[in-house]
Amino acid sequence: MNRIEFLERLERLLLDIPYTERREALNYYMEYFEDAEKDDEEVVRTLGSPEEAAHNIREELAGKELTEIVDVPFEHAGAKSDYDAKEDTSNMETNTNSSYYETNSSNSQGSHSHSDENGFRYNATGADQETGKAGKKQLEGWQIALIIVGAVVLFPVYGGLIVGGLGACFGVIAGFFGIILGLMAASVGLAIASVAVLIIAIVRFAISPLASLFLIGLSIFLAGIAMLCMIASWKSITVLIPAIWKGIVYIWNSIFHRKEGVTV
Amino acid sequence: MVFNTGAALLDAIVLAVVSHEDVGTYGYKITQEVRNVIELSESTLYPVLRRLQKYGFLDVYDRECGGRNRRYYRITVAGATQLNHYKGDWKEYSQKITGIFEGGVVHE
Repeated sequence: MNRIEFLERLERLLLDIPYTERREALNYYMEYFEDAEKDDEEVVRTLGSPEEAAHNIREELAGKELTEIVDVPFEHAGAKSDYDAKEDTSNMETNTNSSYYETNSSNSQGSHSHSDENGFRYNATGADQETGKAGKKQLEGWQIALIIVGAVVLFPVYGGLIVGGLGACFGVIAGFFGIILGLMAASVGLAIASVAVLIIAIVRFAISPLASLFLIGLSIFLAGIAMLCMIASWKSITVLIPAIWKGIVYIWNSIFHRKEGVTV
Repeated sequence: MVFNTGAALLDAIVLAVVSHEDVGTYGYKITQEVRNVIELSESTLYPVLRRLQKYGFLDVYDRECGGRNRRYYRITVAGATQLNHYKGDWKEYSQKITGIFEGGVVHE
């Protein structure tokens, strides 16, 4: 890995931290390579991976102490290798840090604090802890601002997708229900018409038998169409509704996956 | 070395290294000097320098060097005060530990 690769990788790993922090870090490492006056590969070997460098920067920004140099109770430090000790302290790290500010605010003037069982306590002055806190707040504010800006800027995209998708689903469902209702109404109407024509045919049979025969035929024909409509509406309910449901699921999935693609 | 260097001790070491140079010193040189004393990954130093800078214990300025900029770190008055606290605490602490190791009586 040469310096260009190292710096590019580091930049990519730090894309989510504030711009000034990223620029400072990249400048530092750029100068570091220049000042080392050694082969790039050799510098990277002593420097460690860009991942490690990014991790350290991130820890510091988060207001945490570095895991590698976190205070360790002495019985652990003596008995275990550095690596094991690091694993051990990763859990208690948050505790150590949460008590950090409290400890200092309770005795901010007592600068000569005593070493406790965890070795050296961080001995901050009043000004020091204030800047530390401000740095933490700034980071949180920045993250919140980014989320809000992202939500506002991306609103036309996801807002349009959601409203459009819901509208399309509603339209399709309403359309199919309209067709089903229409078919049902048609079958009822045709059945009534068929019965009415049959009654007319029977009543008028004595007057004109031929016309009545035609009307009886018409009545049977209407009854047939009514039955077709009835079957069609029944089929719509049993076959088309599950199909529509599948379609909605498919559309939903495609919207969901596309949104995911945008954010990644 | 089985003993870990805590954050405060590392801060103290870095402040001490920087305080030795009146005109200030730069990242690579600080790293090498710290590494002469304690084992640590070189990428640990940048966050420490950045933190000390944010606390106002170090200030920075850029100086032209061989056609490019080099960032120099210099100790501030607040940094020097802090370093004195560290030195005082370290003396007390190390004397107690040494006392225990060598079987002497510890006086509070």
